Amino acid sequence: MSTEGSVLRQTIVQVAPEYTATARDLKTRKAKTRTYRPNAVCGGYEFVEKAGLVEGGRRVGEEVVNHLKAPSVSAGRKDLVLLPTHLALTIHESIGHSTELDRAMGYEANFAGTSFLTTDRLGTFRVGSDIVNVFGDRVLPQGLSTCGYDDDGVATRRFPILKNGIFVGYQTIREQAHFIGQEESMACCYADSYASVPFQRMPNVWLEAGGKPASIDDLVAGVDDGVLIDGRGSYSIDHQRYNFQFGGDAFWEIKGGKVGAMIADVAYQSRTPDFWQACDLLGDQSTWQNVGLNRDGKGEPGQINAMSHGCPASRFRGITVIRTE
Amino acid sequence: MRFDRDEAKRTIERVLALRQDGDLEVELLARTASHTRFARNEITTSGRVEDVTLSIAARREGKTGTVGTNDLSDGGLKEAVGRAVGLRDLMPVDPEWVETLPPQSYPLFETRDEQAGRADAADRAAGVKAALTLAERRHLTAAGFYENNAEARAIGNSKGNFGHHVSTDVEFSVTMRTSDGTGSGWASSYSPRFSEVDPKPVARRAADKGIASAKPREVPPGDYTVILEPAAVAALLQTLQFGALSKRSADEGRSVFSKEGGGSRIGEKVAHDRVTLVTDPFEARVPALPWSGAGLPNRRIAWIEKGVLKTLYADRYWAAKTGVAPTPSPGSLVLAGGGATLDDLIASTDRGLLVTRFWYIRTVNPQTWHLTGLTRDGLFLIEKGKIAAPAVNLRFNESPVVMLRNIEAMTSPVPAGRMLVPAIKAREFTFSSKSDAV
Repeated sequence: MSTEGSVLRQTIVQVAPEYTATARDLKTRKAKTRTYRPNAVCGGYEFVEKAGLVEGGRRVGEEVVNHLKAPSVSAGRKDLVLLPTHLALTIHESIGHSTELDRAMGYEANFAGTSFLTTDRLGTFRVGSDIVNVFGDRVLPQGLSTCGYDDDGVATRRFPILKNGIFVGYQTIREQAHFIGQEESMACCYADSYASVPFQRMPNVWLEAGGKPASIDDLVAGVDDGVLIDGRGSYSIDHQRYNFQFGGDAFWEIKGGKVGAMIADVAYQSRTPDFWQACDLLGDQSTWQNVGLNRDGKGEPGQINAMSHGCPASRFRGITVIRTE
Repeated sequence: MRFDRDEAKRTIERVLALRQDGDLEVELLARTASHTRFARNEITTSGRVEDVTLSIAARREGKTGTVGTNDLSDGGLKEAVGRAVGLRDLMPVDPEWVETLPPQSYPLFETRDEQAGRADAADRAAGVKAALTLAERRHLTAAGFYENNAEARAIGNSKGNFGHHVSTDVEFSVTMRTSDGTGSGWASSYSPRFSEVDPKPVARRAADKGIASAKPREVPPGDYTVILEPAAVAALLQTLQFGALSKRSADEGRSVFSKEGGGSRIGEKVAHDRVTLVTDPFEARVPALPWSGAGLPNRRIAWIEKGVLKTLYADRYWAAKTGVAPTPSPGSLVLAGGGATLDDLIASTDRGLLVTRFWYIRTVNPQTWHLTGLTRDGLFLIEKGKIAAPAVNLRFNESPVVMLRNIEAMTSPVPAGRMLVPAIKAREFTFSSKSDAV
């Protein structure tokens, strides 16, 4: 309810089933984990029943043992094929946070940081290659940030963030939209409780699938020396969202256009525009998956938020891979 | 504030009286949290939240159901207990379940400051104004956060255990950025007492850093002697609290303190002789509770003493399984320091980097306690015993275990990151890539 006339009541139900298997070898003092994380969605228990928890458990149980025995990756520049379960967090950290207007304007300078995407870059700066199209979207079905109205009382919507690789849109709220000449905000205002200050939070931010038929096998077929990455691992990015290092949950070697055995101890480092401009092929809609994240922190006092990052399996050329053993 | 010992006990007893079968465990948190936030040289938000929440766990024969509520009416408590019992009965039996904690004896320590609980936006305004005035005078842009909180916590259960504690804390932090966007400095101050946090000198430190860090020089990634200011040290050591000091992780071969072939490295030399790391809830300069999360009484615990790993924490389940006494989880960390000053550390360094603080630290490999993260808000190149130039930020890939082994000198410890740590000079600290972020 607001003094401007909004009277809104929204009930939002979210589910996030997951579990983790651990394998360890006391002789070698090695341990690995593998997480089964079916999609976290805005929905009810019916999604838990459809989550394949028994089958998924069996699979990650087998894979974690393979992961424990897997050899370490050899460091160097490699091509990456990233599955949606992994790429979602990379989108979140590198594109989601860098396109928040409050960060760009300095409102988060003391904690979450600012952004390399300053307002003078809006409409002209190339973040990704021509095939990279990214949307902010609070009407995406089952998205964790999906709702009818934001906490300013503005009707939610979909809006472009990257168009053909160019930065074209910020996430905005009513109080700040005027900074970039918007007459309406993009409905990104959110408070995580009745006792929190509403401020700009990330909507669902998703990457459009490629326009031409391309399966995961097609992405892999063009790779001589690379890594296929599934799931989330260690992730760290600087306070202006340039330099990042991401790990994953499971890794397979790609040699001569084919997926080989599991490998271990993989992380990759890059710089946001370099990384997204190295994206040369997107999977088609059949590879697209909406992946929910539910513990994003921001603000002082700290607040949490949940959102989804749909994306296709995607390929990136010549990324620096490091060995983390 | 509300919920002194008697009121907290009465409230918990109202819940315990609703027990149907099995046991109940209750945790009460009554909190007054006040803040002023500022950015772009103006106040942006200010707030005061007063709330009380109860966490109610119903326990029976290996099953636990937990419900949280802030409805303390008779009907609200009855409904919450009913829901906890309902959830409990739905749960499968937990193979690691332990019996409800019997009565404990908790230490008493007083960290309460009336003003810290009472201070409002007007009390904080003078400090914020001092920071903003300084920022404008020096052509900087300030963003920061000033908070003062008071908490009453109480725990109780059907076996007769009860504990109560009141604490306060105050923190002011500020970032000062140069108008050309090439420099950024940060500083903060923490105390349980409102009068001991003075925003003016904190703002001056951040402003000095911001101006000094402008137009940084690129330095190549690689191994450097580093001088880590206390905030940077605290950020590295905080990660210890998330598993590295766990006996279970070590015993199961999952941590840096696991021994090859099984067991832990307790008794082994793991750090420099001068490293003594303890939990000390009686140290007034760090926040502490009389009990740890599972209700075990807190006490002084030496984790590392003169470089030797002395103890790892074990919860009641793992302690019983491995035949040791249970240990509270690590908190209120204090790292003993040395006799040097920060100027001594700089003067004794031929070539190195001075780090103000780190950002976005994540564990890369728990078995080596290998972390990654980035420098932020003031990285400086030291040459021939002097600060030679500001440096472009860097990503590190390093293990604090290596840092604690490679210590060359330390200052005396000061509050930072809600622990007590010195500035540390350590050699061969690995940076892996450049960051363009300012």
